[in-house]
Amino acid sequence: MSWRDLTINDAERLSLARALDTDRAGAMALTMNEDEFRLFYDRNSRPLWAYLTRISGSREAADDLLQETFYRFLRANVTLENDAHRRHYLFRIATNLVRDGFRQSRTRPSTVEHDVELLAGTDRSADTADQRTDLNRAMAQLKPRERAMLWLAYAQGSSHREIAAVVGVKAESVKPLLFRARRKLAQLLGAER
Amino acid sequence: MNAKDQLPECAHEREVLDLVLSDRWPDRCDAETLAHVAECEVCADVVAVALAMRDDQALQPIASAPVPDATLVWWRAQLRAHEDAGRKAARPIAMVQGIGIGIAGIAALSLGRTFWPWIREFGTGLSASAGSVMSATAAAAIAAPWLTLGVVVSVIAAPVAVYFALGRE
Repeated sequence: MSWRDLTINDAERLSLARALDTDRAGAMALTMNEDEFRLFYDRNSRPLWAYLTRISGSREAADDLLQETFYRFLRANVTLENDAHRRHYLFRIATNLVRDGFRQSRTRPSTVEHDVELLAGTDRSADTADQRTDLNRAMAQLKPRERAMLWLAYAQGSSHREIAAVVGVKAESVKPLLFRARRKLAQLLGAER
Repeated sequence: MNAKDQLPECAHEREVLDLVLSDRWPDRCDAETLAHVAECEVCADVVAVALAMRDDQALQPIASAPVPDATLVWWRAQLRAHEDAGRKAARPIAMVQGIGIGIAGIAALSLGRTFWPWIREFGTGLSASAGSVMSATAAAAIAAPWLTLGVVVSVIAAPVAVYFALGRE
């Protein structure tokens, strides 16, 4: 059973609440209350998980990064005007986490190779699984920023301004960076097929 | 002219991407667009990449992403915030304790160095006068038993009291 299958029952919740009551000031230093968080999480957790899976190349890494991203988001002492800004900020944190992980360990491409079969799934047709494997292999050869930009642009249809906000580059830099990343991926996909 | 200006561009790029993202490529788009993509390198790349992404998403739709329950994520974040706050609060205390120990060590060393000749002299004289000290202590204990008991209790209790006072803090 993985940790994402775990649930929290009332007794655990009560015991956690008691533990947290001992230091309410420290425990409540989060930027949202539980109801606000639940709404925000329900809207953004799935797209974020898909994004993390694609740019980290691993489902296990995406599980951990999802929790870490939301934690950092909740602890961030920033004022965000609206939901779109909050969403961009959340994805920005996720992008930075993946990039930092990639810098710390240059073994990421091999991790992606390792997860290729896992990502391809077991209950799908061989053709689609093969296509997915092709994409995974090709994406594994790109830098995390390139993967992030490509996913945002061509899977989520994000604008250049949105991509700039998430990836942390100037809006005018998105076009050339995206062009090169797209060229690279198209060539890799062509070579795979 | 910089590198950005030299990039090949196509006015139909966004339109072609929208066709793929809205699942209208290739069956529900006109022959003119199909012919353009066959000739345009930029649009051909857009289609190749966007189609690969679309097929990938079709295998694992975002709606079925296996994310944990919001409550679990919320409580884990609460618990971590609590632990982090505790660690943050303990950091200056540990720092002050470290500085205190350091200062005490330096003070002990400089005192030892200052009083070393006296200590050495005292040490050599101690063995000679040990017998007389013992007899003087015994005499004092007999003469003032309550005072002696008070001194002994203080020597034992003082470190214990300091320990509990700091522990409670």
